[in-house]
Amino acid sequence: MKKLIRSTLATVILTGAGGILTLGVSGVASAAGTPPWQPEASSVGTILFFNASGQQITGGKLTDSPIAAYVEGTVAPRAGDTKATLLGYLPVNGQAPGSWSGDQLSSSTTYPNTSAPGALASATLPVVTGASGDESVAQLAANYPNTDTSSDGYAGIYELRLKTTGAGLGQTTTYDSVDIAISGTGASATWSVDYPTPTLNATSTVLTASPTSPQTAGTSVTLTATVSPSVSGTVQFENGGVALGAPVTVSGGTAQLSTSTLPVGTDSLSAVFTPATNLAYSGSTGTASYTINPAPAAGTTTALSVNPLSAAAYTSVGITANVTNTATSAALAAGAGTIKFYDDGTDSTGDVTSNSVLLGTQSLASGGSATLNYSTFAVGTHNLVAVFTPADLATYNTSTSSAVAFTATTPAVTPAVGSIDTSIPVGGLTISTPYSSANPFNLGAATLNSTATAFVASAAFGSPSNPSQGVTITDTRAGDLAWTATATVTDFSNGTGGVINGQNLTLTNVTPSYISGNALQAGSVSTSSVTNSSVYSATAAGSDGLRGSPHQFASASAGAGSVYIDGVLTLTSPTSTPPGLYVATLTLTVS
Amino acid sequence: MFHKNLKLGLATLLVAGAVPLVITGTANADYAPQPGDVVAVGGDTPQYAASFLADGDYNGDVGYNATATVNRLVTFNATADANGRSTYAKGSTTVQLNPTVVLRAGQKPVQRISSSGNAITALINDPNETTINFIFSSSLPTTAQQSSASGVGGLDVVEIGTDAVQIAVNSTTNAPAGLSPAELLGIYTGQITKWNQLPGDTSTDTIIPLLPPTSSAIYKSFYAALTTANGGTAPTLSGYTTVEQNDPTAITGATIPADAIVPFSQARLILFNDGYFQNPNNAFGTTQTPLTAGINLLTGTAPDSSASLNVGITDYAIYRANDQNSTTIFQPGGTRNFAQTLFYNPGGSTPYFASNAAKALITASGVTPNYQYLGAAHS
Repeated sequence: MKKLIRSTLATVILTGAGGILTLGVSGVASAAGTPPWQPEASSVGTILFFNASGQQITGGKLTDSPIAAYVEGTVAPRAGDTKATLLGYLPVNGQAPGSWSGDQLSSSTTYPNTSAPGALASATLPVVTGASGDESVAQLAANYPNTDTSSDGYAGIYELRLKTTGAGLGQTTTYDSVDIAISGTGASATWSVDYPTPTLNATSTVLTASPTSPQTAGTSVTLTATVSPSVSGTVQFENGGVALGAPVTVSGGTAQLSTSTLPVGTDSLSAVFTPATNLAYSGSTGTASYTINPAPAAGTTTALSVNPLSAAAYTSVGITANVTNTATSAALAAGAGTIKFYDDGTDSTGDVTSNSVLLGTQSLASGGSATLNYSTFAVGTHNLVAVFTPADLATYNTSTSSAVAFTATTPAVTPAVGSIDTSIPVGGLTISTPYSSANPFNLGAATLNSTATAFVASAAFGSPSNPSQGVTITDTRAGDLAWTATATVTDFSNGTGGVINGQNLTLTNVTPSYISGNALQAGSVSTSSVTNSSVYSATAAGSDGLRGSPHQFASASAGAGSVYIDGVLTLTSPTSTPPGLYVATLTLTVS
Repeated sequence: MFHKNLKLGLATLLVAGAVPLVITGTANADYAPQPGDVVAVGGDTPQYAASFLADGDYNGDVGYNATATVNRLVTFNATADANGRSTYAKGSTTVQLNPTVVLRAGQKPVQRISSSGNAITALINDPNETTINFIFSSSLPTTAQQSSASGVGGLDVVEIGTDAVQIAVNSTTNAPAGLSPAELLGIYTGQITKWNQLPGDTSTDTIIPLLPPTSSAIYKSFYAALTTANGGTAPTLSGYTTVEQNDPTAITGATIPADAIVPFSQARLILFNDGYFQNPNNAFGTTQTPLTAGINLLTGTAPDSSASLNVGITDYAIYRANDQNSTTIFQPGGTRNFAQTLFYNPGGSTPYFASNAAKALITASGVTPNYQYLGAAHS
């Protein structure tokens, strides 16, 4: 039992040659299954439709004229007949098929038609040859609107019949028939075979590639899909399921795509054939595995030119190397590598040995060119060689130029060649404060805080108005070296057993003050406060605040000169602290 | 289930004697058209084109009725004889028998319409306009006929194809290779009676000029050519014998066939030469043999060095103009009346007479298809 869902139909309006052609085609989706009038007693076979290329189709546009280029009956209603005619009828519920109204859709055409394509030319079965101007399904529907809107199986359906005749013979009473459904509106309205359900013809697709695998990356590979039988459609070439370009129209049974971008590795190629709309053929896929090997580095050619080729010693000489891709002669791009210029003295072999003297190194500039201006050639012959070293050895190979001889002649006036030297002192890095045991920094008298939970003493350790009262760091070292400044403090002691834990001392508001004329300027120095998280007892262990491991409070990445580092030192002590003068040692270090 | 045989019964009686007669049988129709059928009558010249369009041709091309399962297209030939033979006694201007036909089921037999002119008249005079729906004709309605039909909106004309009128002679003839209109004017006005009156012809035989009925399209076309040859003045014809138009036996059955001439439809001779007509002496069920016309058409150069007569003739379908807009649908479930279905359907599907199928059928009748809607054309 066929499972058919007939289309919901609506009024179709088409613009005809002489005005508006209104197709009163209406209906509703009918129940799935065999049309209620089938099997039809007078129908001895079904009808197959073919396009002008002889490819079987299952439908078309409502306005197609002819409906199909060729229409073949699957059973000859009468042996010996030589002409076939296509007729169209409107099935009507309650009427026998023999009483339905309809139109003649084609002329009566002779078969076999030796001009027909493919197997149709020799078909012994009846074949109607359509012609432009034959009645379309749209016209049939306009002349006989299907107004059935019920689900009785008649809605939207027309029956096409193929009858045969022979010279001097009447028509047969039997015929081949097929039921078609129409759907859509306007110019896009279509017809399609509804009963019997069309059987799709199988296709096969074979995928080949040229040149044969494996190939190197960048090689142009032509993929060819051969579709059999040769039917219209498109082929989508894919690699690993990813489309390679747009679908390619099949022509003469083949579709081709050339690509030079297949990725390195084993590529899983496929050619997915999709038949053209309405063809009675199924799709198929051909596959092939293809290996792409990495492409070798491209060979390079380094050409060397010297200008002038002969000049007085110690004259400036332009030595230029030009590097090209050997295969394409294209100049390498800027930055593709560097050129080392050598002087091989009297060695004209063009090789570079341990005796070669490196004159200089230049990066490849635009146009694949690099130039070294050299002006200290001594008198004599200098065989100059340029060596190209690529930035990426996977892309380009190295290459060495041929030797170019430059002759340095004796200058009219021999230049006095002297030497000038100097030395840069190592320099030093110092950190200092104005304070010492003899001149201690005084935090002032401690006072109870507002909550009377601790004694607090605090004082500015230098200030913007008097920056030198803080820390002074001076860097005179050569080489623009970095430095880091740290601080650590001991516990405070009053000399009579009273102790204030050094973790209670903090350094905050750390600020650099730059000095004009130094390399160290705004932004050169980074600072950080050294804080604590509690008020520690005299005996509490730890390295919070400024006690313990040196605590960084300033740093610089480079720059010579002096800079002031100011801040605020604050000491907090428990209320249990015995009275007295407490002293601690603050050690500042820079390295 | 319909069983409709449109061929008319024909009783042929050959009476031996001094004056052999060929008498057509009564038009005892085997099929009388039903009320929904479209009925056509017409002239002899286009009758086969009309017949083929309705029922198909002898080559296997189906006609309109191949599809029509309910209401059919019925055409009645001008001649009661399917071979189109004469109803006139040989050598006589007397119609031996007026064949009759039943044009609609339930009606009584009436005289068969036998020419284009009579068909136009019949269409106009059809009581209640219910018997004849259209006619096939090789003549256009006259202005007067169009006026007479004003009650039905006038007459609409559709050209279906073209034919030619030429001079037919016996296959063995004393006639020259061609006869010009001027020479034929002399023959049919009695000024030229013998062949040797024509330049270069030595036969002393008397020419036997034949003509179809004056109402026939062949006659009208021929007479118009003679009028032209006469400087535009209608000539007075004399000395000729009236015969059925397009009937080769008018020539082959003449007293001396070699001396007989008659204007003839080129299309009709094509049908003969294609073997359509069978020898009526063979009974049904026995071996059938093609009926040879035994005549040729003159197409060579006339003795006066002019071209032989070759007058174009056009075949038409003519119907009442009011039917073009009739709300009576021809086929059940359809949207078109019979005029739109068959003749003219502006903005709609191609009418059958203009279809590819119709072209093949018209061609099979020997006529060159040339569909044109001509509206209220007249001569």
